[in-house]
Amino acid sequence: MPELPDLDPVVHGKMRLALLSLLSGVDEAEFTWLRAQTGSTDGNLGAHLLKLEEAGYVAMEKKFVARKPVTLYRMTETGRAALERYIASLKALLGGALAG
Amino acid sequence: MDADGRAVGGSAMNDHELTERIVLIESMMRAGRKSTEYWGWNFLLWGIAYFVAVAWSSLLPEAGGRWLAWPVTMIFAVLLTIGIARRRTRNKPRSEKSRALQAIWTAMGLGIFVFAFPVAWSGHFQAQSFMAAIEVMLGIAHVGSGIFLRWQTQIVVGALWWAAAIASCLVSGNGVAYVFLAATLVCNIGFGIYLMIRESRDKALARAAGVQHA
Repeated sequence: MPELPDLDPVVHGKMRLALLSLLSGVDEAEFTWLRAQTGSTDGNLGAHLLKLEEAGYVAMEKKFVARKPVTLYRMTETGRAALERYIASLKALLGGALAG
Repeated sequence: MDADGRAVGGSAMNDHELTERIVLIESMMRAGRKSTEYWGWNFLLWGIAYFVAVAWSSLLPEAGGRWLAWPVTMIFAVLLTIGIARRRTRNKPRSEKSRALQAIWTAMGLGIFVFAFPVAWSGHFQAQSFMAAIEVMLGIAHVGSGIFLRWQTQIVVGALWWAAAIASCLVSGNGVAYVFLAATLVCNIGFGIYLMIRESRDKALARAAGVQHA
């Protein structure tokens, strides 16, 4: 019997998976945009983003835009690789039934 | 663990849960990509601006500031575009795709201004070739965007601008204005309304699928 790949528990959480998927398609995103897309609360979103940041999957930057403070998140190369590995593992677990 | 069980961080998952994750990934990637791609309002705005400019320059008497019609309308449309775009894209992320499309349209817009104002003021203005050049540039931007997005509808819109450019070379008198207005009606106003309908439909579908948009 072939060995089944493990899924990265940091990526696997629904909220963190949603965040990485969102960030994979953009250069960087504001905290408020991520909150609106996921329908999450500030506290919950902040906790998940912190976990992703600690894993080195996202990078956070605070700056001022038009004299207003904004918090920007972008996916790191490590995060992109982790998401790609996770998707490949999911497909392997599902027996290659999903194409593309 | 049952026959379909999978080990994930010490817990078991079935195929349904794993498939749910794939659906989540796809819907979120789609939401990220779609966040900046709706510009139907801008095509509509510029279509209206062209009509206003043509009406102003045609209906006013020669001494009534007719020569101001195009510069004033175009500059006003640029300022309105910048203002609305800033408001609509506030808090929204940028992607490589949005930057690439912005590059195409900004270059086209600047090209038209660099070309149109010197020609209009040089005293060498010739309506047929002037309008044909403008229509070719509009066609280039549409076809470029269409090829980049792999979207046939926009390629067809660009081809219609090129057809208008050819027609402009062949007509005389007011024919040039009629060709331009017909192309504007289809390629700007019609296309803009079509995009806005698509945008509201996509947003309704996203809401129904549980994917929220800012």
